Amino acid sequence: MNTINVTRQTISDWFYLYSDDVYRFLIYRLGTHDVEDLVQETFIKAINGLDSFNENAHPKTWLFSIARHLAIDEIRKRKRKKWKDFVPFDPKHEGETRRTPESELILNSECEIIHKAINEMKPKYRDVFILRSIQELTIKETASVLHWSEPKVLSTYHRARKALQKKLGGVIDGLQVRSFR
Amino acid sequence: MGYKSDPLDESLGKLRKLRMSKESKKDIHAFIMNYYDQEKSQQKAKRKWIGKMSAGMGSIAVLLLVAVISTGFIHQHTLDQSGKTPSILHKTHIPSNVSKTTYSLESKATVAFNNIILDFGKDSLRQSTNIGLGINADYKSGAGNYEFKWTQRQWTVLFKGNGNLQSGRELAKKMARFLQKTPLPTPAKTGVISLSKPMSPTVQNNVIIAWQKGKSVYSVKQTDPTVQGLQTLIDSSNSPKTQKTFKNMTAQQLSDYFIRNGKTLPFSGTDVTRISPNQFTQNLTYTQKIQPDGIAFSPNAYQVMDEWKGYLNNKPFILEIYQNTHSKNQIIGLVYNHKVQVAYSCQSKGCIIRNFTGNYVSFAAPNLSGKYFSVNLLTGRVILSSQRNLNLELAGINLKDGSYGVNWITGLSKKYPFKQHVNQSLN
Repeated sequence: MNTINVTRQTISDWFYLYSDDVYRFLIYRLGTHDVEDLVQETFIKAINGLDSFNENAHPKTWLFSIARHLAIDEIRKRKRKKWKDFVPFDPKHEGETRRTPESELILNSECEIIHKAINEMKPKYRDVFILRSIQELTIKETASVLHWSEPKVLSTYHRARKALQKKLGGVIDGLQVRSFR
Repeated sequence: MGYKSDPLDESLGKLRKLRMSKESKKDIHAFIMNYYDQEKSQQKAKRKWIGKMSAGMGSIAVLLLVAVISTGFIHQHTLDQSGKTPSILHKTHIPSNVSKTTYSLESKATVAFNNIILDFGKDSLRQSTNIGLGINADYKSGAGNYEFKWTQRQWTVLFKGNGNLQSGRELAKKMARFLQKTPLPTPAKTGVISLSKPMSPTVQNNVIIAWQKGKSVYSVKQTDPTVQGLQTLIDSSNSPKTQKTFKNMTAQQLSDYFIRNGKTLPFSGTDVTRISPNQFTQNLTYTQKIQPDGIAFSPNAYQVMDEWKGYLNNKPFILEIYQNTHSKNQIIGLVYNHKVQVAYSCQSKGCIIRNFTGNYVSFAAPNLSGKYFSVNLLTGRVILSSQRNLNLELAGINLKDGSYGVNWITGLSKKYPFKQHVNQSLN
């Protein structure tokens, strides 16, 4: 395996370049704002697995791949911990969250509707939709993150958009499936 | 080829604007850089030791050996028999070395490698069971013994022990989970990890890790003839030095540990002391902004209610709980390595420390329907109360049992009461 010499500076650069992308991916993949720990965990795992980083791979897709696995684990974990939700807790005592003005955006109107609709999609649709439509990865990059073939990315993405369109119905006027000219 | 723009894409554009807050980014960056530095220094130390080994592949074997031993039977003994803190063995206590045998032909090396698997047991394992992570392990059991075999990544894991099938399956699950989390090297073809628990106290334990590379077969073995010997290893692994092995755990990892084992890991710091009220000092200054509102700290308006000091990563920390003399609301102050890391308002008049674990301190505000939050003592990063499950796990509280835990601060070698006895007029 070809490996590159990843220095402290490289890690720092990766963090500043891609942490927001990873953060966004995790938020939409998990449907929650509390993903900062998972962002941290993604980079910790990346540091631990530097030996397996292939120089031919793009660090961004590699980080997405790690984040995706963490998100899957997190969902499993949450299912296991559902019993805790039965413990009464008064939400008025919740502390302030450190939301940025941008993060408030998704709580608004159509963004919230889309966010909710994404969250209700099948996991594989959600994966491909987030990566292609929100993270704007290329088909090749998406295939690399998901370990899928490029035709599979194309077809699944097409279906995901259709599914989202169906779910949103007439909420967003003129909503169409992205089409090729 | 191009795209027609559509309203969905326009809406998605807004979703793409989402960014992490600058504070969070700064905190996480500081944490991962710190983690990177410590990993590098540990690797450096490890390389020195491995340099004494004859084979160049020593590091791989040692990593695996440590992983397997700590997860396998030693881990189990630690949890079940000694009742002490499970920890990874200190490297100087591993009596192992890597042996390399080179054959004239690769096919001969393959035969030799396969013999290692055959030596484990020639019986076919006809039943299959799920051990988690989507792994199906073949197994057989009977007469108080069990054998498991599964493939994980490119490693074949063989595991033999005594006890009932259920206990064996639990141990196999633990091993699989650990191996999944541990960054394993990729062997050229395949590798084998073989563990045999002792059938009786006088029978040898065996841990064999082997892999083939071309015409060579590398292997590393660890043996300890008695349970007493094993116990010595466990005891020695509980020294403060080995506690460093979990000092870098993230909150998520500490929480995972609690979920798996039903108890939290102890605090990573050393020389932790609760300062008596007559020696309290104020370490927050006017320049400090109180999170989350960003209001400047006013030293005259606050009185220290509780103060702790100690060392983390050989650097000093001071942790303080202040109370506003007027509103009675409390704030947490943290100084690490002589730098104020955070001043955080717990928005409560009764904030207490529940637990110290890893690099974290877990707080509770019992008068607010059990609000919990945690602070990373290295970075000052606060895990907000909205992450309730994570905070409960860091506090070591299992609400499933209908309990809010013990009535003292946990995670330290000494039991401390929740509250300091300070000026009663403030309480």
